[in-house]
Amino acid sequence: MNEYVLRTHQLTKRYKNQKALDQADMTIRKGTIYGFIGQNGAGKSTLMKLVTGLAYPTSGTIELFGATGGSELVRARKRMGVSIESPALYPLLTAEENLEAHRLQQGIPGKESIKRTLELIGLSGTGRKKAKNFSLGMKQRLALGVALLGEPEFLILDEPTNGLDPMGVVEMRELLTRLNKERGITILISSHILSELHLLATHYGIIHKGKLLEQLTSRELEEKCRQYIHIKVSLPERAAAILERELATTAFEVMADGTIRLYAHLEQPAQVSAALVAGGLALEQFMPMGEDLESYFAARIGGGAHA
Amino acid sequence: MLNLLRSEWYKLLRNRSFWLLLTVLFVSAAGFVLLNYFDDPADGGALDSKNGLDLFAGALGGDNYIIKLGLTVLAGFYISAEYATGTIKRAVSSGHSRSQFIVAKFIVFLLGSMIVALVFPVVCLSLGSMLLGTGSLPDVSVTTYVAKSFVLILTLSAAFAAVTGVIATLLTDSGKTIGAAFVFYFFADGLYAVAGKFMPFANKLYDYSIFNMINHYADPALSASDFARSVYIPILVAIAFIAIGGFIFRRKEIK
Repeated sequence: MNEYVLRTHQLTKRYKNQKALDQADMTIRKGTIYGFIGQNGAGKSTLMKLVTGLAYPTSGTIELFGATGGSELVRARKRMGVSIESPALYPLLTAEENLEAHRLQQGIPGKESIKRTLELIGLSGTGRKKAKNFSLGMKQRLALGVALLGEPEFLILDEPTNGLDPMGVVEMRELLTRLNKERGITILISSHILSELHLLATHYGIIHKGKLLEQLTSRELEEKCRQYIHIKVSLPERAAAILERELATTAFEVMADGTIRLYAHLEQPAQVSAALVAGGLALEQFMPMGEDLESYFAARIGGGAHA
Repeated sequence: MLNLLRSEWYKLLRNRSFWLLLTVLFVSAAGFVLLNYFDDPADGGALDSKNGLDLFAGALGGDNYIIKLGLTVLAGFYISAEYATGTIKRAVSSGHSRSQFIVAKFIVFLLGSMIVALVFPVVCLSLGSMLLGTGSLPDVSVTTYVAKSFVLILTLSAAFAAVTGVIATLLTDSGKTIGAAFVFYFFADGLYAVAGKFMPFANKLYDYSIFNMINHYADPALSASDFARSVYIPILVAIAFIAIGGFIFRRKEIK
């Protein structure tokens, strides 16, 4: 059984003289929620369009559920649910009719799936209201409903929280988490709200200027974003001994440059500094440090930019 | 493929411009018949259709414009609108091949176009016959003439719909599709005439083109060979343009 839902190899897309995607090697394992992070124009949508067949790669390959090309790859897309960029809906049809058009297209037997999906996305009470009269949040939910209708194994969602109010964002997160946990649906999701993505994703991919800079698990990210007290003293060995003896902790690292990262006692910095000073050490640098997803992302792409 | 056809048919039946076109054509045809019915030439009236067949012949003349222009509106709102709403993305990524999708789309569009093209003449003939009587034709059986006319309406509307469908697939924007198709159909006869001045071959081409056939399809004296030509050429045009539409769509990047 293939443990990968999606693998791209050196996937490249060039528009005239500009590389929208540059040799991207993306790997998404079955059952994961892959948060795709990048600025506007970084190449997120381009990669999603290539995977979903909306655009053709200039070079490189796509492996979806083990299928790598031709009609095999097209058929593999039946196992996906997709919502890319703005919600793709028929504006003059109701929520139910939008789902029915998709149900017929996918040959999904029975109309019960429509009722179930409407309940799942919280739109069962919209009746004869046409999609064009929906709020953006409702449209996002309906687009998700359409993507979910065929009980896909892999969901590709581009900015699904756009236009949602704070409660809607929470509901969407809970729904996606539930779909992932209960149905084992693998999800590739891009979002500008990195704090929200942080609560949802199990894996991350950071893309910048068409290049997939890094892929990491949430555990690896946690390691990289770990909070600590940054300590610089003239005698790091003595400082280490004091930390072990006086504060009874080994949760620290002495870095190659002689600085110390203390991962414990984060709430008692005064106690730490007092112990070091009492041990006869002069504190050259002493400050809390660490990153969250946003600052890690900004640092990774060169600082200052927003996703 | 059957799933795609069912889905496309479902969407066509819920397409507002399709129903608007049908309603407008139905009301216009009924109005046209009633005007003729109440406008008595003996009492200073200007309209002189005496029976259902007269009205039918008049309707076929008008249907020329419905086939050329009315269908562009349907193409704009049935085919191009998929790009504007982004629903085309859903279809392309749904696991069906692009060729299957566009062929299903074209088939249903052609069927819808045929229905649109039939409304005006059918209403004129049936309502006109009810109010004024069917009438008769010299040397030609009424049933044969009406049946032949309906066959030609169907084949020519299918051919024009396929051409319009290609324009819609190429331009992907409702406004551009309607505008470009209007201009193209408006000037097509003239373009052939101008081309014919420099290349006699163009005149021959025009004789066998759907643009020429649509000007003569209401002729009760249409010979058997002309009728046959007016059947198979539009069918071949429709098939060729569905293939061209598929070729364009397969290579298209969906934005």
